[in-house]
Amino acid sequence: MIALIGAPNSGKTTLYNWLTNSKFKTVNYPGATVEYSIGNLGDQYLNKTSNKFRIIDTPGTYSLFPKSADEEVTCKLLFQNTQFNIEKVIVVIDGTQLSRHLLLAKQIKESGFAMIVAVTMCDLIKKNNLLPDWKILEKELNCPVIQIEGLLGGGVQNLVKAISEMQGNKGHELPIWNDSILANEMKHAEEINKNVFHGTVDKLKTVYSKTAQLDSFLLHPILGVVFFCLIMFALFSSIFWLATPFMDIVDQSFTWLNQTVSQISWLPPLLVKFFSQWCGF
Amino acid sequence: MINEQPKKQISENVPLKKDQNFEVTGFCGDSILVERLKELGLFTGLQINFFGKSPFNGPLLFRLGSTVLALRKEEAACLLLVAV
Repeated sequence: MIALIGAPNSGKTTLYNWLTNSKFKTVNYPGATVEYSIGNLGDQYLNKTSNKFRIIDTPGTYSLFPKSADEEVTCKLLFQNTQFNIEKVIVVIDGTQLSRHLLLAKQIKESGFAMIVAVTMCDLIKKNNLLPDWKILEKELNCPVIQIEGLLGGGVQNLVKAISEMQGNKGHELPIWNDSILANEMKHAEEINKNVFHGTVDKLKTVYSKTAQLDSFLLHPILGVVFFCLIMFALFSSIFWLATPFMDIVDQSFTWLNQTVSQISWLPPLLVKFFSQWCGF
Repeated sequence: MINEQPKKQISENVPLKKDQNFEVTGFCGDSILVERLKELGLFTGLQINFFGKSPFNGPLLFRLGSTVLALRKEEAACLLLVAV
């Protein structure tokens, strides 16, 4: 049994869908997954591994010290669930937000679980001509780091191979991290981020710069409300003026069918009545 | 160079201008909220950019690196900031 653990919106469910051929809903805001799901590894990966293992998708959590009900689900699954003996963890990290997601990876490492890091959003990183050195992260976390491209499923085969080669190890709950440990770990995570991206961390800002331009209008305190009203009005009125031509076409089609069926002389009258009345012509 | 501006909590109605940069100098208030803010990537010494505010007294938007954090007023009130 392998658990997918990661911060909200890091790409766990997308990866889960690729691994298990599922179609769970994914959205571009956090909080979509609130309960765990279990699936079997897809048959197309069996040439990479002879083991058929099961994968658990979990609600996102920022750390192993839960502060909400959905985070508790994840932490209880790791440490208190006796039904699923989780010994292998895939820590899913958003590559464009490495420093913020490394905290959880370090906690998983300290807790002793056998882990692999799956770095998602690698397609976005490539698109912006960034060349991160993931070997630095591998050395830092002492575990395999696999790059995943969520859009087309790139890297999933390598991930399956890495999972099959991994030896399992059951983890243990961590003692509470105090403010000082938390602060030090965050600063260390920032340093790792800078090293991995060779000091081109600022280029990551370009990843979302296009949406930032739209945000200046859509999040404007006055214009934002105006745009919202316009969009809602357009959606509401399109039900009427946009749908009317199609409704007319459908209506005319059924009228034509009714007339055509009525003119077929060799059809029994009962059948003609059936088509015209019961089928809605 | 020492920044002599006094520390200000966001709850003290510090006028926040769009695209203004701040340095996080500390945290205050509810310990669970503070811990959550730290887990989200905020730490003492970090420079963040005030990106904007949602209408109708909505969340405050801060940019750190490539991330935009939307913090409710009570969450943002836990931050001690100095304008840079």
